[in-house]
Amino acid sequence: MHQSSYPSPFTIHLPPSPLTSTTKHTAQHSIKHEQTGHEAMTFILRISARSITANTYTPTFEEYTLDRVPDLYPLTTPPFNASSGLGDLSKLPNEIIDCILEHMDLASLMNFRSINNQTSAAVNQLSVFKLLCKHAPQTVRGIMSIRTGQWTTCVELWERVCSAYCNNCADFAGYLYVLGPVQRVCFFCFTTSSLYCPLTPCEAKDYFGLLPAECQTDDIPKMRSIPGLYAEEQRASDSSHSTVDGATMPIPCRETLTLLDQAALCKVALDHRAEIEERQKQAQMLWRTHSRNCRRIIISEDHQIHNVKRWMAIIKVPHFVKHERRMDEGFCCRGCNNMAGRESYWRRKFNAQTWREHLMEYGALRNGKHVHSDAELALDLGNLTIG
Amino acid sequence: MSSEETIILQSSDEVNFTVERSVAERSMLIKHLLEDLGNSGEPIPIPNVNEPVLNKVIEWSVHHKNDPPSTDDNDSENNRRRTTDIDEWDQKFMQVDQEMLFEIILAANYLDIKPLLDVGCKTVANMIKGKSPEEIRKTFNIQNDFTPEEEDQIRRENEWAEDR
Repeated sequence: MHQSSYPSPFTIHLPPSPLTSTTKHTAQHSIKHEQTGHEAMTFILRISARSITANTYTPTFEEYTLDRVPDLYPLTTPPFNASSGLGDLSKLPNEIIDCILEHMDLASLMNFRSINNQTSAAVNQLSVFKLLCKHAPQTVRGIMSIRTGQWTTCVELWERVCSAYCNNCADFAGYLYVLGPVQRVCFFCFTTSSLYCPLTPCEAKDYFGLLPAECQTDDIPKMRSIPGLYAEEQRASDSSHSTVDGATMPIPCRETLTLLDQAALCKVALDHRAEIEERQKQAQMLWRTHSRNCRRIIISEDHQIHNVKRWMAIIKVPHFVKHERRMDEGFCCRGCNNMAGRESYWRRKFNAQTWREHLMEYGALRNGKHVHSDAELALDLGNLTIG
Repeated sequence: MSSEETIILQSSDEVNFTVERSVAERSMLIKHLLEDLGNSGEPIPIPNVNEPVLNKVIEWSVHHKNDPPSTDDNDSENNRRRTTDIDEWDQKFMQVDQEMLFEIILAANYLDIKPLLDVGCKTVANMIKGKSPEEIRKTFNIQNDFTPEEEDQIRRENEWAEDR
């Protein structure tokens, strides 16, 4: 067991007796997901190597992302009834109809289902839509609920579900940011990077000087938040001693907020820089008073991980490994579980590939600590390549 | 221009078009045909495509003859682009009536011209985008065959996507 001089900041669910698997090259972790409103998924994670089983753990974080909100867009696929056809579109063969549907954004596609029985069936039988409904239904429901469907297509969405790495930092990542074109993001980026911190129109005015009318453009992705619980629950009880620091509860948000994508706001503000500066000079006093009022109403400071707005456009979707047809949740490193900072961050998750790179960079793990020994490293890496 | 090899294409209504080989080869079907059989100088019959449509397809092919061969859109630049974005020339080119648009799509499919097929599909996708179900039914003459109960359920689902 690892000894820690600090209380661990969260509750760890240790895999059963890690040392028993040292003789096997293949370890099987059966990971049971917490029930998230839809059916619980159980699957087997198969990774070769002693080093992975002995030196990592798969914690269960109580995260309240968009997909956990109980009341979302109802994604139903009703049975196909007798139909009067596709009208003029029936001149086109089915594969071309599919090609048209694949080019449609998600909002239009969902709308197309409500034309008649045949259009509804055409969408429900679209292979990429079927894959999404089967493996990532909460993603579609979440996007439709916050109304950001116009910025993504099923094909792009499925590509993101099947990608493993963060669009911002290229690390292994388990979430999708769905305000605007869908991006895969890691925990560190979506809780700290300003790119993934949506702003209210008031804040957009405060920070960028953009008028609400200037924010009403298709270039700035906009969402409507769903009231519910957000952020995360951490029971800060160490297994041995109970200390209360760092315990957090999910934060309820009862209002429906309009939120804008910060990266797009920033870009539009740069394009309009001259006008904005002029306007601010002319009405400086007025503008200051206004922004002070704003601050009183809204939480305009970014509390990063505790900022509910950062969680409202995030959907937890593990990497779907196409050829193995399974979700890869990843795992955490025992050697880094008391670390802050970017690279050796305790919440960082790895897959087999990034784990290998991590060991090469930080050294092999012995008794829950990174050690710098080439021989030990060779042993761990050797095990990784077997099987 | 005399050095450029030319190909004669014949539409279904027996009108001949003489085009440069590079233009004709935008069509994978004709490209493979020429590779397999060589250019005899005889007109190549295109039985499924009539004169006005073939004319449009050739117009597109001439404008796009120097396009780089399409890569699998995997670079990040392409992924960030909205898929329904269509280049300005193509947008103008596609300003035709619905029947012609469908004919062009069918011809592109038959002749295996993937980029033209894509532009056609995107154009149709854009016609559907942002329209209410009733407007879409009108545009494509689609009948509403939902029962009142189904209609009710759809209305409830749609409430999620509309401003309340």
